[in-house]
Amino acid sequence: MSLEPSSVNPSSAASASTQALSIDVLVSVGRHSLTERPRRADLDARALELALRLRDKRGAQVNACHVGEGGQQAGSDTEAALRDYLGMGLENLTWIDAPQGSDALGLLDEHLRAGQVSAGPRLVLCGMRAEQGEGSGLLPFLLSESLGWAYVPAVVEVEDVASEDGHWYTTVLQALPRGQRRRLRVRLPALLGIDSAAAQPRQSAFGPARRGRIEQRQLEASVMADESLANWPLQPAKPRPKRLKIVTATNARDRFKAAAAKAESTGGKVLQDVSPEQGAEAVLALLKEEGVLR
Amino acid sequence: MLNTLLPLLLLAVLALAVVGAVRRIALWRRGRPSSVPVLTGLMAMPRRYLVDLHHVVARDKVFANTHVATAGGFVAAAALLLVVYLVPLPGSVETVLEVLLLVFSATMFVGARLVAKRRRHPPARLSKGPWMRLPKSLQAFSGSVFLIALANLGLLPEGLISGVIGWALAAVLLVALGLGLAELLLGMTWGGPMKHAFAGALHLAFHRRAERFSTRKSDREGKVHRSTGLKALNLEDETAPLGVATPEDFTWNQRLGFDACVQCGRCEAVCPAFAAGQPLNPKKLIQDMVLGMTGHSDAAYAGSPYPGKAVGEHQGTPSGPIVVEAGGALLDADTLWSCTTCRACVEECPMMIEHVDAIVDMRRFMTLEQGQTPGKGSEVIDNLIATDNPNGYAPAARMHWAADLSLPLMRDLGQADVLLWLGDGAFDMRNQRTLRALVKVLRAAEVDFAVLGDEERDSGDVARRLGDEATFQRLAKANIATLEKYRFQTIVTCDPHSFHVLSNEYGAFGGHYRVRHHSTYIDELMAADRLSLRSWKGGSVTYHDPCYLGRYNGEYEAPRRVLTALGIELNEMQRSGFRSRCCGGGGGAPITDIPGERRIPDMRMQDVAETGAELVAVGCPQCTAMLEGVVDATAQVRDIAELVADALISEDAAGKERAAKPQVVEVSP
Ligand code: SF4
Ligand code: SF4
Repeated sequence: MSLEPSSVNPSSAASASTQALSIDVLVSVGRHSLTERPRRADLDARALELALRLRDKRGAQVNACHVGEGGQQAGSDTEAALRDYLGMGLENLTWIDAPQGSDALGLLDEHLRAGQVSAGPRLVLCGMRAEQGEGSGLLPFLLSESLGWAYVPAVVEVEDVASEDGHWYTTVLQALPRGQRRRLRVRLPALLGIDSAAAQPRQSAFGPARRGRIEQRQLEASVMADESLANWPLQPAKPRPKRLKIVTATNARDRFKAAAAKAESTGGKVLQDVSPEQGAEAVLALLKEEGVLR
Repeated sequence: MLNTLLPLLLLAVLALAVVGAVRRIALWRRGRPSSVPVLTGLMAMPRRYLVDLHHVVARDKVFANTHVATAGGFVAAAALLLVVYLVPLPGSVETVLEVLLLVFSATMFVGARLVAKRRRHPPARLSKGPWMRLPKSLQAFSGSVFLIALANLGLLPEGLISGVIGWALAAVLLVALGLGLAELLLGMTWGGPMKHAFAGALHLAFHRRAERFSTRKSDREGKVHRSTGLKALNLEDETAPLGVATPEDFTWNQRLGFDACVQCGRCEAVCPAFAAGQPLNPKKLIQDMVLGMTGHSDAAYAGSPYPGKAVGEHQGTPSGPIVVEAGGALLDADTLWSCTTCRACVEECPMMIEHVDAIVDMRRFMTLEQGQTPGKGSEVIDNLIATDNPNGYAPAARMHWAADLSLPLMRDLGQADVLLWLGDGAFDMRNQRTLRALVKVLRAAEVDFAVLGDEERDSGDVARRLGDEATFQRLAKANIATLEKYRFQTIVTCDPHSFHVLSNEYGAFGGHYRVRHHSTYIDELMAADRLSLRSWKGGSVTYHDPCYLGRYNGEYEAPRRVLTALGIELNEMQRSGFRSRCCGGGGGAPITDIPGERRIPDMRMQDVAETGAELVAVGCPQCTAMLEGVVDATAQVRDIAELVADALISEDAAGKERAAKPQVVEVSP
C-alpha cells in the first residue's frame, strides 16, 4: 500500500463521483409456485437488491426495465409484479411494450444502447432465468452477444467497481457447485446473471410501490417476432408427488424432535483411530478432490 | 397584608396558567386532525372521570381513596380559594365558604400525607424525579390554605397573627402557598407532575374511542363498553399518510393523550414484554412520545428504562423521525416490535391511554413505507399476499386435515345455522386436533354447520398487527365478499384472533356478523342441554384467558362455565381474567421474535406451575402453540374443545357409559 494513494490510484475518488456507475436491472414477471399469483421474480428481485446496495454504497444510478406485453396497464398482472419491484425503493421503472409473440432481445438491445449517456461504467444485472415463458436462461447470453459485452452467470455478489488504465472493471463473486465461490474481475460494460444464492431481496413496501411511476416505452423499430417460440408446443409443468415422512408421535416434543432431526448423510468416510497425520491427509485429499485447494 | 397580596398572587398564577394552557393546546394541535365532538365530549367528561376512570383507579383501593381525598380536596379548595379571594361576597357567605375551605384543605392535607407515605418506599413501577416532590407541594398548598382559612376565621391565637410573628407567619404562608400554586396550578399547563390533571381531563373529553366510556343509557341497559378494534387506514386516497413517522403524525388527541400519563407504571407492571426483559416498557414509550412533542432527550426520565437500553441516549425532534435505522432517535425499532398487542397496559391504564394504537401506528409506517418488518415478518407478509395464509401453504391444502370428516361445505349448501371458521390453525397439526374435537362436539349436539373450505382465507389479524394494513384490508374484503354469498346465523371459531377481527374489525368494511368463540358456543349448547357429558376425572386444572378473547372481547365467563359444567374445579392463576398474562403469541411477536432475557410463554407456564395444576385449559391456537412449546412444563395443554369432546357420551353407547376415544371422530356416511 502506498502512502500517496493519488499516485497509485488516480481514478478512484474524483472520477467515481463524476462518472457515476449506471446499472440497468432487467426485471420480469414472476409467479408464485403454488398459487400462480403474479409477483416479482425472485432472481430478478435479487438482482435489483444488488443494484440497490450499490446505489446505497457508491451512489450508482439504478434503472429498471421490463419488456412485456403492454395494453391495459392498471390492475394487470404485469403491473402488480412491477409494483413489487418499485416497492423495494425505486422511483420509476420502464416498461417496454412488446406485442405478444415478439422477441425481447432486439428491444433490450436497443433500450440498453440508447441508455449509454456518459463514459461512466455500466452494468446490467438480471436474474439467471425467468420464472415464466421459456425460462431457458439464454436471454442474457444472446443479449451479451448482440451488445458485444461480457456475460457472467451465477453471480452472488458485486464487490467493487474501479477503473484502471482508463478501463472500468468490476470484481464479482460467482457461485460454483457445493457452496464454493470464485472471485472474477470483469471488464465493463458487462452483464451479470444473478444466482439464487445472492442476498435475499429486501421487503417490498406498499407505499413506494403505489407511488412509483411506470413509464411505458414504445420501440416499434426493434419489434421482431419470436419465431422459434411460435413453433414450440407449450404445456403446464406438473409437480412430481413427494413421499411424506410419516411420524407417529403423540406429543409435541416427539414431533419436534422428528421434525428437527438431521437428514442422514450418505457417502463419505468415517475416520476412527487414525493418527493426526492420517486425518490431516484425508482432509487435504478431500479438499483437493472438491477443488477447494489446488 | 395577606388579604391584599393573596388576590394578586392568585390572579397572577391564573393568568400564567392560562398562557401555559394556550401554549400546550397549540402544541397538541400540531398533530394530524381528528374530528371529535367538542361540546359533547366536554359534557361527558365529568362522568368519564368519575365513573370510568375511577373504575380503573379503584382497582387499587388504598390509592383510590388517597386520590379521592387529595384530588377532590384540591379541586374544591382551589375553587373556594378563588371565589373567596377574587369575588366580593357578603360576610356571612364568606364565613360559610371559609369553613368549607377549612374542611377541604384538611381533607386534601390528609390525602397529601398518604401520598407522601406511599412515596417513602415507592414501588419500582412509579417514576421518581419530579414526582418525588409532589407530596411536598401538595402538603404546602393544603397546609397553607388551611392556616389562611383559620386566620381569616379568627381561629388562630392572637399571638400568632400580630406583631413580628404575624408578619413572619404571613410571609411563610405566602411562600408556601406560592410554591404550592406553582406546582399545582402552573404545573398543570407548564409541565411537571400535575400536567396529568389538565391533559387528562381534556383527554377524557376528546378521547378517540368515545365508545369505551359508559353512558347513562349503556348503564341502564347493562352493556359493557369496549372498543378494541384497530382503526382503519384510508388506502383509497393515495395522498393519505400510511402510519406514523414523526411525533407530529399522531392525531392531536393522541398527543393530548400521551400528555395525560401520570407515570404510575401500572402498564409497566403488567407488560409481558417488559417482564421478559425485551426492550419495551409501555410507560416509557408514552413518555418518549411526550418528549418527542417537545424535542427533548430522555435524560431526565426517572422511571424504569426499556430493559437493556440505557436512558439518555435517545432524543427526538418534533417533526423528525421517531425511528432511524442507526438508532438514537426517539425509539429503537425493536421496542415497537416487542409488543404482543395483549392490551394489558390499556386495560390497566387509569388515564385510558391507548398504547396499542400508538404502537401499531408506528409499525404501519415501518412496514408500509419503509419495508422494515423485522424477523420473519416480511416472509409472512409475502406468504399472505401470495397464498392467503402466513406459512405459504397451498390454499388448496386447507382442508386436508379433514379429508376423513366429510365436512359440509358452504359452497354446496349455500346456507347453514353455523358457519365454522377454521382459521389458519387448519394447517397446523396441533390445532387440527382441536378442530377435530370441535367438529365432534358440534356433531354430537347435532348443530347444522358448514365450513368455507378452500374459500376461507387468513382473517388478516397478523398482517394488521405487523402494520401491513394493505394486506389486511385485501384479506378482509375478500373474506367479506365470500361470506356475503352465504346465509348463516352465527360464525363459530376456535381462534380468538379471527373472532376479534371478524366481529370487531370487519365492520369498517361492511362485514357485520354475529360471531361466537367456540367456548361461548359450547356454553350455549350446554345451557340448551344439547350435550351429554361425563364428569371430569382428571387432576387439577387451571384456565388461561387468551388476550383476544378476554381483554379484547370481554369473554371471561363462558369458558369457565363450560369447564365448571364438566365438573372441573378451576384452580385460578394469580393473573387471570382481565389481568391474564399474555402467552407471548399475539401481535406477530413470535414472527418478529425480538430477543429478551426470558420467554413470555415460560413465564406463563410458571404461573401455571404455581397453581399446581396438572392441566391448563386454553381456547386459542396461538396460546396452545406457545404454551406447548415450553420445555419441561409441569402441566399439559388442552383446548376446551378437546376437554369437552373427551367428556362426550356418545349416543349409542350412552347406557354403557363408554366415552368415545380421543381423536377418533365418526365419519358420517
Ligand atoms: S400510560 Fe397509563 S398506566 Fe402507564 S404510566 Fe402512564 S398513566 Fe400509568
Ligand atoms: S400491549 Fe401488552 S406487550 Fe404491548 S405494551 Fe401493552 S402490555 Fe406490553
